[in-house]
Amino acid sequence: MSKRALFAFAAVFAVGLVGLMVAATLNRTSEAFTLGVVPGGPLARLGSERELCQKPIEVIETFERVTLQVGTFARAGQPFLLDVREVTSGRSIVQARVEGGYADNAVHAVTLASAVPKGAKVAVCVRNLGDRPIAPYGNVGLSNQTSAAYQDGRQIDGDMALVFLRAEPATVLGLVPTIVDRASLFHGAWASVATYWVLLVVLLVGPPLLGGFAVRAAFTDTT
Amino acid sequence: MSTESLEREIHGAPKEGHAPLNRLPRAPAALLCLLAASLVLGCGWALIVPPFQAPDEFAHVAYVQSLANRGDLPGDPARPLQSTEEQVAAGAANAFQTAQQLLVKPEWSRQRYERWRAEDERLGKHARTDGGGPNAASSNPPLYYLWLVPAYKATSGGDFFARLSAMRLATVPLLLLTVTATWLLAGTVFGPRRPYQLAAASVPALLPMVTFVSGSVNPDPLLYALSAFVLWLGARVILRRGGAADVVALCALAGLAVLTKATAYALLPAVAFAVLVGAWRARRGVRRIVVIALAAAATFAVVVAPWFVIARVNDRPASGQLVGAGPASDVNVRELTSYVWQYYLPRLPFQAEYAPLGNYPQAYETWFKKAVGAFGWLEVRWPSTVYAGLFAVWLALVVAAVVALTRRRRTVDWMLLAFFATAVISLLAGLHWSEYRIAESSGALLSQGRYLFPLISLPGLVAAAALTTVPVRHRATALGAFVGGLVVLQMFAIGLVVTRFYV
Repeated sequence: MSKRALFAFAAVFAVGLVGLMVAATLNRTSEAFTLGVVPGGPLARLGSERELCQKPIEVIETFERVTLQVGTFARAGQPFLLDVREVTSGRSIVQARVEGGYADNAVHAVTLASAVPKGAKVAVCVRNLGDRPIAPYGNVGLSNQTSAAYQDGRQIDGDMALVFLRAEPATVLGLVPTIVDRASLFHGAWASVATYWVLLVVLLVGPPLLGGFAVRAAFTDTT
Repeated sequence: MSTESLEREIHGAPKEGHAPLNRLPRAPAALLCLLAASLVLGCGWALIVPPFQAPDEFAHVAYVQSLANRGDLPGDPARPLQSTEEQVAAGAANAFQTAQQLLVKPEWSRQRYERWRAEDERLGKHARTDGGGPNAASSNPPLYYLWLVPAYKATSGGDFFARLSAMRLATVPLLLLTVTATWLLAGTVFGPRRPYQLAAASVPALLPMVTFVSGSVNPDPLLYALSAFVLWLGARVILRRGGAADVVALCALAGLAVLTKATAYALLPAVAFAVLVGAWRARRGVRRIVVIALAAAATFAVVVAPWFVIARVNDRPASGQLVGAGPASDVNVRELTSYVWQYYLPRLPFQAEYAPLGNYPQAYETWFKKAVGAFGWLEVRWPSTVYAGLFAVWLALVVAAVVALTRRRRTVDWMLLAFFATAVISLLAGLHWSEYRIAESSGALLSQGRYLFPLISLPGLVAAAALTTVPVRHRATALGAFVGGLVVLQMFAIGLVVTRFYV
């Protein structure tokens, strides 16, 4: 009786574990990190040669593409330059030009010529290269607390909605080390990355083992 | 309740030739393993969920901090709703922005974390004591928050998030109490049969939403534990398995539940029912019934009275959530009835549509979906097909339980069923009453599936009853699959939450 219970438990768990691994492998994400700003509407109207920057941005993960939404006031899209700069020196790290002709409120995934490395502190700037205005999307200034939007060098009340993407999508399974690193933050000074690796192992092994013991004991316990 | 009866309850009937031992009973191995699994999962949830990404955790933490650092209850309108320390910490973790917003992630930057630590060290002593204002939790009774004060104090040398983690971890043992009470209840209802007890106790032990809530700072887990013990003791009283001590314990625990959250008032009709049925079944005359009822009421009063006095002296509501909405005289009974009807059943031609109700049936949306999976601030959900699959499993369990009940209709104790039904109906009535009154002023339905968890032992009994219908030769397989399925559900739930917050 207890063997049957244990076998059924183990079989269901094994199927579930395989399912979990498959899901973690199939579930892929391109997102390296985000400012967490919901694109609620046009943030600023940029005339010709005007620019909007979001800074300072800590590069938490290396990225090679940037997603942003741009409004064009019901006109054909204007060309713009996406420039990633060092915050302190203002030196351009990498740029990408987006050609005009796109639809109003289009979402662009702009590919940069090279990756921006993890650990850098950057400004991401959008410069209008066309004749007619464009408006990058963003939201109110509280959306991101560590950076702010600047229009032509002057801080404005708002944040640009930027999402930073990897060159290639990563699987959730492949991101486990990153997940452990991120989860260990803001849980107390004792919560190191090593602690969270141990927690991961305990969570993967403990409940199934103990659940199996419980099921077995339910049929063998004679107390 | 004597040690011997507790011994029998936990261990089963003593073996022939063995007298009951006059010592604390040894817990069954199956229960211990289940409790250990539950403990691991509860701690896992406590340490995985980002700070404040559980319902109203800001407010509950502020309550504890007010008690621990100011020695006073929160709710002073002249004070900020949370301390500077909590506000700075929540800001650093990007907690306010992340709440309910799937597109927004908590702070992942180690540099930002280190900056916060430096900033936190610069905060003066007053940063912990300048909270104490009114917030979503300040009208709650204080019992749960008092439970957390030692954990908070013990880690007061640590940073804010260490204390938050300590408070979450201090909540996890309450889950173990709920599991134990459910085990005992199943033992009372089905006899001391381990497979049925395990099936029942696995529900609170392994259902992801229960462990998620029990791994956060929230008074609900204490309410779940106390309610589960109330159900167990109520069942004992009705079945006359206990004595006067059970009645006293039942009423004392009901009083403690009331000191935890106003929702507990919904338990009182069931408690009264159990006391009266137990007294009536003692068949010692009306006078005896009156004496028992008065003793029960006195016990309850002794437990809750100090809080009512303190609340009165401090000019604050003793049962905030009961009186928080508009006056009861404003209630449109016809509309209230229509709202409750449409919550569960198709709207009738003569009924006006009740605007705040969402997708039909609202009961499925709120009670079921939010009970089996609405993590974070309710925004972290399973795909619809998962809810449908889980609902099919739940329906199968209910149908099997009804079959079991029908088969045993001649031996079943209908008063026990009436006791459980009273608990369910009064809780639902209280929740609907409260939700309707809030919806009238805000236009929104605010009930959540976890509000039903004070009765989480009852779905456990449903699972155990369903197991009785399985042919004996397949029973072990069914139990193994059921418990294994719940563990798998846990794994996926943790994966779901991790993906939402850290990917």
